[in-house]
Amino acid sequence: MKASASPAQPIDAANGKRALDALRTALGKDWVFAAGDQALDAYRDDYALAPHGDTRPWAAVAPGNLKQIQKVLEIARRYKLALWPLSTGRNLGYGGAAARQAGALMLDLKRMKRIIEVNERAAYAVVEPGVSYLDLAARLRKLGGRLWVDSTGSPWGGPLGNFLERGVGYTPYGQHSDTQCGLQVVLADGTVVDTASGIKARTDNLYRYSHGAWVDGLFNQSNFGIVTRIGVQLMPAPAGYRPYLVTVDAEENLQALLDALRPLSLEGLLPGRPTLMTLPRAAAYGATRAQYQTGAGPLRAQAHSRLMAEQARGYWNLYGAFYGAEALLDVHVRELQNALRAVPGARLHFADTRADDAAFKCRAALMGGAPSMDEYKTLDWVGAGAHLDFTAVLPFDGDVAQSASEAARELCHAHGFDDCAEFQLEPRALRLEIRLIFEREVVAQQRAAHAAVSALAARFVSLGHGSPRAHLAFMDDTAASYRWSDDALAHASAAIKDVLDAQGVLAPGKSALWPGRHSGRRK
Amino acid sequence: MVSRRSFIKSSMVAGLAPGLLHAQTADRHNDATVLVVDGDCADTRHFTRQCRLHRLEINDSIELVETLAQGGQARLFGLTRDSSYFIVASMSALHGYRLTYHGVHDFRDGQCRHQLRGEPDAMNALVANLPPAGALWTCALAEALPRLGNTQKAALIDTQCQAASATARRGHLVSWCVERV
Amino acid sequence: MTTPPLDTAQLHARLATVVGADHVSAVPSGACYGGLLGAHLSADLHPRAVVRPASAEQLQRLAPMIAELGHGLWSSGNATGNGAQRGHPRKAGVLVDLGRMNRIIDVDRRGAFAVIEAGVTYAELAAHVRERDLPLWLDADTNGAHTVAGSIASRYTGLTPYGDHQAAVCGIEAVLANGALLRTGMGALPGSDCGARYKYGFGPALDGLFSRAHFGVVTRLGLWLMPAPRKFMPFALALPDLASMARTIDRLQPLMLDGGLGGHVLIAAHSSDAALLARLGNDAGRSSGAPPWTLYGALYGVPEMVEHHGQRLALALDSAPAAGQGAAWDARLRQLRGEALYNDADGHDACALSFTLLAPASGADVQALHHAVLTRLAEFAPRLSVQLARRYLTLTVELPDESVADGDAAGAALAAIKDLLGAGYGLHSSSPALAAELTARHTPAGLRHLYDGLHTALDPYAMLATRGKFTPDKARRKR
Repeated sequence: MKASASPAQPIDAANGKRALDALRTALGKDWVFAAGDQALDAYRDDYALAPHGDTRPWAAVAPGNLKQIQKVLEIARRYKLALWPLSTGRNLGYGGAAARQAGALMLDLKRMKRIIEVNERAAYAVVEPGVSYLDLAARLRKLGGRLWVDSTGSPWGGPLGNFLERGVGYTPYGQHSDTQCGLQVVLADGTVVDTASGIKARTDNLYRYSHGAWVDGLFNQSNFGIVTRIGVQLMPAPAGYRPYLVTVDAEENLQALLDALRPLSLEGLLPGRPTLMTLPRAAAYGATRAQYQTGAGPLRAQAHSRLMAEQARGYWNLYGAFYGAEALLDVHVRELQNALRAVPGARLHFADTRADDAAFKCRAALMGGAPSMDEYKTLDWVGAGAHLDFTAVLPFDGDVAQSASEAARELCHAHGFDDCAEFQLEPRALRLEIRLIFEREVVAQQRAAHAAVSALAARFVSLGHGSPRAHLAFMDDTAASYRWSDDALAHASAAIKDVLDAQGVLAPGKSALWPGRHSGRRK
Repeated sequence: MVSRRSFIKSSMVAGLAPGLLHAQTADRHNDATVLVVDGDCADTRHFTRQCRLHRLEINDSIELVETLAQGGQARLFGLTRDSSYFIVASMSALHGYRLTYHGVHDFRDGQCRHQLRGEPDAMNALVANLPPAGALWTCALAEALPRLGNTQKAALIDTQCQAASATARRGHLVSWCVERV
Repeated sequence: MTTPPLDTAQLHARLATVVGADHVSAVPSGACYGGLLGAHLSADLHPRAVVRPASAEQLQRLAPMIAELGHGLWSSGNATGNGAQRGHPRKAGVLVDLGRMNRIIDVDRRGAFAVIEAGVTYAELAAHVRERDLPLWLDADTNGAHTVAGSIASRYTGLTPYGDHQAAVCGIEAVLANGALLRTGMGALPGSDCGARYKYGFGPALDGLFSRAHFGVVTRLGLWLMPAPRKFMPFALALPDLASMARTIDRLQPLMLDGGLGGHVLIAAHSSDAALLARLGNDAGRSSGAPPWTLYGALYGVPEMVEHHGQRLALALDSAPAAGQGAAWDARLRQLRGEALYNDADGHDACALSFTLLAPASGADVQALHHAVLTRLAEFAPRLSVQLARRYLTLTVELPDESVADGDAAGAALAAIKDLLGAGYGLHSSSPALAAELTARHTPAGLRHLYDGLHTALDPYAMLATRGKFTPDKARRKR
């Protein structure tokens, strides 16, 4: 495990005062929040993990435009401040609005909340950091609903933050990194970089790769610059929409299900990112675990049976959807039905028989371009809940998935959690998201969640399954797992960091990119 | 243009840190009060029957937000699942509401535990009335809540009480009041 | 230009200590490597050696050696020069030819992907797939001798649904200037089986730095392959004039956007078809009565879906999509199947002067491009073709070698490009002779500043390409 850098040096009182004065001059005193200001309470992880520790900021600023950001950067460089940029601050489950370390200057970009452009013909939007999915969806509705936005399960967050974190959605535009089209970034030295293809060109945001090197990917899950605008491709509203649910009763038939679905997935006959949930994961939308079992510890078999019976679901529950004209929807359904013949105990359901299924309602909305906040209902599973997610990527292979699922369940149970997990289906890979739902205010459960993720990470890394995303507390370890060829990738990233942000003013420690860690030339 | 006040409010996920509760202001300009309920169960049904307020059901917290944005209500009471409370508290903050009362009612293990925070007189009254109500604690709550805030005291207190649950149902509900200032 | 420390013979000898004397040679004379080297480059700027490593490990030893010797590093997948990268323009250079690194490491039938070395050509990969009877289609460059890696570096776009070659890449392995061997994405996790199945690892993605850029030399990559479609319905449509082409583009665009047309659509001018046929040794040449433009496209997928979209297409085009006929159709049909059309390994096939413009996918824009191009270049008989993607289109302009001999074709081409850039259109790519003139001007100051920074970080010996000094704040102060 890589050692973390020592905590940021707190700024001394005299320089701190000068810095604050400079910031007030630059932004106006209304937009600078210093110690004692209640506004600073907002910059924390709502789902705090006890071992993660105190990450309280030194101060916060809220710039209103690019010029002000450049002024803040200049002051940060002068006084050696550590900025922590955030957009809507709703990265719940991954650290929320907290910085990596205490003592940061929060750079809150929520005031910049314009929808710069919605291009209906070419189906994309350009938005600023403060725009939420709810905002964008409302605008698209107002424009006539011909375009869908692919929202995440947390639509009060925004596309800019979500795309930068490599978040995902569930429509055919759900792999957000594939639908990102152009960024405006401010580097640590104040330079503004537009990655779209030209200078205020007609083709901005149309062609995802600029003329030279395609640099956009450098700014995802990173701290090489402050992103102030993002291009987001939008999905044309389809002629028709049919969400579905496949239930498979027996846990051990996961392998058969995935192997049956893989060819369909590769042919594009399982559009979007169908989500295959375990029983507890799907059940949590409409129940609390206390209704099925008292006392601590994961649900036992008897409770599972009751849940399956009462909610009419299997151990496995695949929520997906088809898009297109009626005739096409019917073809999709037929193809799926044919594939499911090879899967014991598989049943296909549609909306008409799932009126009481709270999960169906939520997933159908998300897959249908209608942002829903109902994901949060799953946290009622434990009363007043919070969650911590562990994500790993596996090959789309029934055998591998079955083993991984068993390993996940074993580790969740060992730490007292139910196996609330889902496989998100992409054509060649599966993204396994294990959701640890814990009681927000119970420190022992916070610790247990933290320990569970550590255990899951260690196991999955040993199996060769990488994590594509991590909570702030786990970023160092996650980055360290990508160590092929003597940490070549880490060294290259560190080299870039040391040039683009020599003073380390931008989000030190984000994705384990710490300033000054590059050790120089390799032999 | 986003004002400083609404900017600060939009940053907060109000209510998760108890310290964010604010005393009710004396100036109550509008009596319009809406009852928000979700989590369809016997308890919430009792609650709505007993409460004589105009009811709004959260089917969709986003719709609630849009309602809030229209700014009609000065005060909203709710008896909801925790997740709905979490969302409402945060979203309503965007529209200038503050949390003035918060109660957690945990009856998952056969006991009914109530943890309350709000104005002293109202909290003391609730502490007295909830345990004897037993399974019908939501009725007691429904009677008490509309009377919240008739005093002008600034301080808020934490208090709790407990009773045996007379119902086999197990759950966790949150009651709350947000007020536009 | 700095005088390198070794003379040519000594340089070759040093390089030979890594790859063996058989695999070091002088640069061929004349135009070669697809126009990377040739008349446009003065003799003293030609690389002084071509070196052919057999493995990434050899390349890891070569890169720091070349740096230490004060040379620039050029690279090319093979002798065809597609996607080749120039080294530092003011240093003597060494050209790394990756043609010997042509192992096909894996073609996974169930996962529909391949893992290949940088020197693998489309012809080699196609043969591999064919010999094993794998139900997988490629999307090949027209020249089968082109490397797959080079095609991605040049941002080539084919016609099948997997036509966006950049989008089909999943996981890259590259040697950096300092000799480090790096894998991106999941490939950076030891023991990962998802390097070629899932594009994203953790942290910033460096993959794009090895595309149309030279921050390292790609040694291996993962490539997604299309499962053979159950039904393939190619079609052609004659377009009598530019106006009708423009109308057709506008009517097709919604179908492209919503995925009804899953592949890319090609609209070739007659001259372009004729040139292709000539290249194939077919003298069908200028047949009278051939339409000025022909549209080529295809539907791929489950039969009922193909039929459904075929009906939509018929409505959009006012006539049912039908197969074409004749020699040009036969060639384009193979292109729609993702097959290469010819196999020219010696790197002379490229037009000396060609460029591809980028525009919104609209009829009005294609007319504007067409007009501007002809204004400057009509006398050089340019061969034009348009390709439609979901949200944009490209116009490729090729100036045939025979007409370029007289007059300042390069100057006229540059002028046309500048006109169009000034009007807000984009430049997708250009042949090496033009690229040298364009890159610096074409790139906005902020992006150039970022590139300078990346070069400082990853190319500290200034081997790989032009490097401005990265002075923080330089881009701003310049304004």
